[in-house]
Amino acid sequence: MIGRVWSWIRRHRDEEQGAVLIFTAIAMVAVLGAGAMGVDVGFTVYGSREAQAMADTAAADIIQYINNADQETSNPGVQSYLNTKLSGVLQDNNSNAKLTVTPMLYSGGVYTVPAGGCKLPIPTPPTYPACNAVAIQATQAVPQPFWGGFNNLAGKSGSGLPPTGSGSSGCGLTTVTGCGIGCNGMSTPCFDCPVGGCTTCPTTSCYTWLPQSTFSIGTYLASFDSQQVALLNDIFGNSLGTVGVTAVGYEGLANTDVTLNQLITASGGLLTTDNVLTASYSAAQWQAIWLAAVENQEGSLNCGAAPTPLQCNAATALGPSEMTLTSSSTTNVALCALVVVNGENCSVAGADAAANQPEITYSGLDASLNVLQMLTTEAELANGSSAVNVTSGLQISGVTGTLTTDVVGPAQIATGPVGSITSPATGCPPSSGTATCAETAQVSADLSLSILGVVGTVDIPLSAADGIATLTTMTCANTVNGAITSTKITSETTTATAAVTLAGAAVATLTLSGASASAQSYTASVVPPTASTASAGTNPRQVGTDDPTPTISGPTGLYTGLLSSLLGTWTPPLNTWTPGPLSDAIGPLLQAAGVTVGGADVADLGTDCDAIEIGS
Amino acid sequence: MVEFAIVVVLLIAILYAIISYGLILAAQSTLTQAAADAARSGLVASSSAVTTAESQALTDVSWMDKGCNTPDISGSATGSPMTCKATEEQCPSNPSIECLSVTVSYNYSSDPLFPELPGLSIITPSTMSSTNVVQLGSVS
Repeated sequence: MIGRVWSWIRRHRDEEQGAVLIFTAIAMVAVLGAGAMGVDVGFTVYGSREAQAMADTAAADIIQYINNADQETSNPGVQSYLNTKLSGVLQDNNSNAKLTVTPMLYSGGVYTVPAGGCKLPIPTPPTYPACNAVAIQATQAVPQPFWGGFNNLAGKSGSGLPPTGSGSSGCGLTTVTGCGIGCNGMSTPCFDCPVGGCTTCPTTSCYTWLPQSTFSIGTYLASFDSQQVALLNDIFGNSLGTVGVTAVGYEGLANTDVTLNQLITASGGLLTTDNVLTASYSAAQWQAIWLAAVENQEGSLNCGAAPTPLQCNAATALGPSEMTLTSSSTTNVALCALVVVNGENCSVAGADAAANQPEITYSGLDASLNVLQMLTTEAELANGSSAVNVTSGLQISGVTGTLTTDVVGPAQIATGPVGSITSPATGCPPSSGTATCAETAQVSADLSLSILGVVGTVDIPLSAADGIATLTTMTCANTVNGAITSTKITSETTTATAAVTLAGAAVATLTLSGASASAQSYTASVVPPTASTASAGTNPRQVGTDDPTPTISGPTGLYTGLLSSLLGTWTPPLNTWTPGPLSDAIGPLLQAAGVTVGGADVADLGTDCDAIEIGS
Repeated sequence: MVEFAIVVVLLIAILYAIISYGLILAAQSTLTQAAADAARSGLVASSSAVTTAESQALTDVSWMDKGCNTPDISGSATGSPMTCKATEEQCPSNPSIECLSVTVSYNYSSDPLFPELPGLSIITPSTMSSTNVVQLGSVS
């Protein structure tokens, strides 16, 4: 047999016909095999990239919920909560990847998964939430057309506090490492850190725990005093439309907060993160946006519960049955005129000056705004000015007058973290450094009086005192819900003056002294403000005296004496809500306009001890 | 020799297809990377999230030298087979919060990275795209 084969080879060894076929057959196996392997490897690389992208995306998304997870009372509860959010990530990205999340603890430069779960032990001192980082593992199945079946590719990622604090070089796109670099050298899977901790866990997104407070200086309107319904209706009904908010609706508005993010979502495209502070709309348009946001929020409430949550009445108050605003108002209002978010308002400063517009940062999207407070200030601005005849209110024989208030800027709300400047002495915004601060409206009041027997009109163009409030301290307890311990807000007011004229000629100068800087403390029990805290004066707090005594200077004589007597009667109601001779007529309008002459109300509207800021 | 001439055509066709598919997979991987990078850069942007994201996507796909249409960046070039589009929209998982969605697409058949052999378009994709969505806020 072998001999016959050798014989056949000897006979045909010089023939070349068919040689290529042999080489081709051999080469084709290699070529096709290499091609098949290339396709499969290509799919593998692609799948790995997909898995890593999903892990990175999930890490950035889930870290936003890590502090909210503290609201759970058990480790399984935390895990379940985060798993629910993971499902949302997959839904957002229409992905079929498999994601797992491991809550972690970052402390002392080391990431750990504590033996007792991420909620235990609570670190001492409690300088951060118990659970402050997450590790994500994504698995993406990709087809292997030639190798057969599917290959499951893993991507791993994590989010946590930056290694050395906010702004450290360990965070950001330029140093994104995914899991690869940090964990290649580990024998155990990524983030499966030993109890003793590891220092190599990478972060693809970093965040800073940045508790924030929202407070206002000016007039506090969002109380639960249903008697103020009439005031609200007066403000809106001036020229903006027909308003008949009920007491129940008023309480609903006063108790409902909406975040900027929710406003953007509810605006149907009118607002974006780029223009949310600067987009200028009429009162009617704002009403529609607020209504949509409130309705969205009500969807998550159990409005069938007994008693009905107060927030469930807010949509009715904003709806056509109680509020119909016209769109013909020529005065449009932008949010930046109403609220300062992380230092951004209509007066642009700092790094954003180049863009010449205030811009919202990511963390500012969660700033919570009280619906009633915002609506009333919007209405005040849209109205522009208010005038009231005080003839009856003065109740002084022989004196008639008209009071006009011009709203240049409403009472201000600020929201943000404690900055580097903790005293209002340097102004708002500060000339250097950062601060979360608010400045009261520049409101002027003009009182024109006709006094029997006096020729000409006495004109008192009173510039209301400016007030500045600055967030000084926030102390958050590291307990369930990240509850606040206390907030300190430092505030002061300036002196208000008026050049009193008679028939156009200066006759005297009126001075109301302001309040020097002082810090007011708001404990957890008084935040947010309620009717009882407002009544007790614990929130809002009055800055400056309730009853400033005007100083009249100038030529002595009949006019000065008369003015002293007159203004002594006139001023107290401007500073307090307490019933007085003029409170029914002037007080509400002045308070609505933010006029608290010689003083100001400073209210801590809310705190967010779980707020975080994604780092870059 | 004649046989080799016949076979070499087949070999070159296979090699051509391998290179073409390799570049297609590289392009697809780049689109995925670009969309993810862009979404994240938009998330942490201190200014406009949309334009920041589109700018980042444009940078990530630059190695292909095809440009990228960025509709929200003023003055950007048009006519590229690629589009880098970022939008703010309601999150599909939770309509009450806002999401940043970045889609990077490539009309590959109109301007492929590697000239395609006649008939190869049957097995190569005409368009490729990748979308990444990040949440811009949280609701407990």
